[in-house]
Amino acid sequence: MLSIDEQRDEMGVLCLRLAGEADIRHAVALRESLMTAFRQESLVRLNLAGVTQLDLSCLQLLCSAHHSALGAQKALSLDEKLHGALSEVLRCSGFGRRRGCARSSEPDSCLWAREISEC
Amino acid sequence: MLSVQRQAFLEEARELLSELESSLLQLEESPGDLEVVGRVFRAMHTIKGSGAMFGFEAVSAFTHEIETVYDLVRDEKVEASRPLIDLSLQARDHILAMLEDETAVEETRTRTLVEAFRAFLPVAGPCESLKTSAVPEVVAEEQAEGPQRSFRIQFRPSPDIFLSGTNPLHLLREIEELGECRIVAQTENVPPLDEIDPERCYLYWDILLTTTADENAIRDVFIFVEDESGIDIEPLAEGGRIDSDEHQKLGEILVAQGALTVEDLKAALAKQRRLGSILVEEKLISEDQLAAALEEQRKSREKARSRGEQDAAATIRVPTERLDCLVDLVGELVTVRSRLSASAAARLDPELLAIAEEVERLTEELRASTLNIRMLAIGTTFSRFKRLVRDLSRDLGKQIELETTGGDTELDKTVIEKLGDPLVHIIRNSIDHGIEDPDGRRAAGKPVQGTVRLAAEHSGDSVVIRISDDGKGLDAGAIRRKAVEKGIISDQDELSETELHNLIFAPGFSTATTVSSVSGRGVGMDVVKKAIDALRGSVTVESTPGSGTVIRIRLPLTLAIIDSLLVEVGGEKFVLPLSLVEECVELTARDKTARHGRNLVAVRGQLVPYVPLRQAFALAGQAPAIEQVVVTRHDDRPVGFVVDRVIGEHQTVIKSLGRVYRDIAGLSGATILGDGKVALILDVPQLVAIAELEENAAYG
Repeated sequence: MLSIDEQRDEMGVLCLRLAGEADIRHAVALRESLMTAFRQESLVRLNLAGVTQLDLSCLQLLCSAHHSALGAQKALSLDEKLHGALSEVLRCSGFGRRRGCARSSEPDSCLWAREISEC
Repeated sequence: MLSVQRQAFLEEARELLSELESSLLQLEESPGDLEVVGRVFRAMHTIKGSGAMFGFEAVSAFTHEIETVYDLVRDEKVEASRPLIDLSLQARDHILAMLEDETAVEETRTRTLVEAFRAFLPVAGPCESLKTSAVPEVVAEEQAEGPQRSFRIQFRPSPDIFLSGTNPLHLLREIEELGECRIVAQTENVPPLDEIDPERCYLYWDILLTTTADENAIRDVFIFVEDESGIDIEPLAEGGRIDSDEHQKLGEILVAQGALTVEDLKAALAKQRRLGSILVEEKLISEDQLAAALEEQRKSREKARSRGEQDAAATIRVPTERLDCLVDLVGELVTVRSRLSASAAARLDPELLAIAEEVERLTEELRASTLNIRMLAIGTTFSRFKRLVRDLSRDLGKQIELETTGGDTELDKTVIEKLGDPLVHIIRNSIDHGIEDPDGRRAAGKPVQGTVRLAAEHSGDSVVIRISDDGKGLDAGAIRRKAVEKGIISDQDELSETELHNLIFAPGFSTATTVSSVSGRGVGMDVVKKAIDALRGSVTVESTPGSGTVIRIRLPLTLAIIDSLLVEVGGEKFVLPLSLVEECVELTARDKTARHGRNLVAVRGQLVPYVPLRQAFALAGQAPAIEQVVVTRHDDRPVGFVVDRVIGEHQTVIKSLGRVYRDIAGLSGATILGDGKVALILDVPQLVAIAELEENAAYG
């Protein structure tokens, strides 16, 4: 099960708080939430602290959301450093990197850059 | 429905388990052979890794426990003892059951086996050993095995890979286990949020791997997804390692950091000036020298590529249904070809005749090639008997060894599949009734260990399988008494020893005085004979009291399309398998009168019994003045079949008769002739059996 809660911080910025299994079964729902969020907001924060499982479909989706946001002069940022298990998924799946990926116009704009020390 | 990949895994796992069984039995014979231990370990390791990838988590977890113990066996910290091998064989059966239907497997049984395996771990280290995966240790050891090489790998999975239940992350982890690697997910194809289908995979990966494993081992990681995925494995220069300073190139570092894709790197490199051009410009070499050197380089690259392609395409896995479909299509083609030949012959058109002949030749080649694809080595069936002999002899307190020869003899897949059960029954009988217990063997002056031999060899268009044992042999007297008691023969019947021995194949015959769990459960050798007859084969027995018994099974090489002799009786056409036909002789009214109504014909001084097909099938019409006797060989005896006319050789595509006609005695199938009419295929053994019964009833 994946729960997606919307909260606003003291500055009024929308934060999507994900908890549970972020995998292919919930990828469609996650996309809907991200699209709804970006329709209304220009800045969205993402909190993955409660995520117990993260698969490639959701990793790919978050990448897509991040790039779409950049393209629309908006921003998607991670709330805090990823916990150990997610960091391990990131490293093993080749998402962990020191710099932004090749398609990115801004070299340091990757959502995952510096999330892990070594990739 | 199972995904293609899961299905492929299941097939692969069954094969691995079969190899595992053989390896374990081999290990039992030579417990110190570390190469065999390595094979056992690798089989477990592959099942564990692939199992997890395709959602067989319980299988993977269970196999991990066994793998842990065998890792210690590899390190010679745990002995490959008989109890461990016993347990491993049970575990192998358990994994097979889990793969067939995980829900049907009792969890308590899994737990019991796991506990039993844990008991083999050294007391001080079980927790540590179980906590840490055996994999890194294996990798460390494998890395020490040979020189390290670096590979550039690009993995482009199918967009549907997530939906097929395959998790590419498991593949990436497996690659990681092979050595030191840098994995970079390339996201350039990932569409924007409003266009993305989140269930499709748009990612691909560039990987730089330094490992002692070879290219095939890397390719093996992708074995279940390679059909649908793009997998490009490029070795860096021989001995080149990406982590050694002198070889680490800027481009590779950038790719490893994810800052550059392999494509962009290649494009940039393409813009560099070639060494050849520089050398020519500097006048260090001539244009011709450059051209010659480039040509040599091209040839050596082509050679290397073709060698690589040959390795990769050495074998492919094809579902059996596709093969069956191909054989059906070839069958149809053979039928149409007959029609074409008949039609061309009728028109007397030389051009059409030439085309028909060409089609005939090509069809024949296609038929031979197609049937050849279906051929499998019988050794795959043999290996399962090793376990059978081991387990049964132990249950019965006997010491028996199984020797096999000719395992590479090939037979049609269908024949091999249907041969398993009859062979099991024969071997069970040999172990249960044939081979004596150790005391009995000692008393008879034989070695305590008995031997069952299984041998296969080609013999013309057949394969002969011999199952022999060095047991006590058949008791002809006991067989006779039993046959009389069961009413199979009468007290007055005079039978030779061979005829008496062959009575064991008569329906309802069993010499066992007690019903054991091994054989004698009401299923006699008659069932074996029926099964072999259904394969259009024959089975005979020879036995020497005190020395042992030999059962000989003769089987046709293929079941799908056979060469046959087309004959005609009363306007109806019939087909006889050509492999059984020996010759054709004439039968005149005078010959019949000379034998006083007995169905016998003299062939070169020997009287041959015959079956008049006109009577056998109650066909109307008058027989011609001179009939033909097709002499066949059945159970090593000549038997003739009287027909009106012999038409000639015919390639017969066998079609089953269907449910309603299946039990009609004397016919084994049907075929479609060139003119579209149906010809029935004669079942020689059944027709002979019916004629013998009628003969016995008429003359006693």
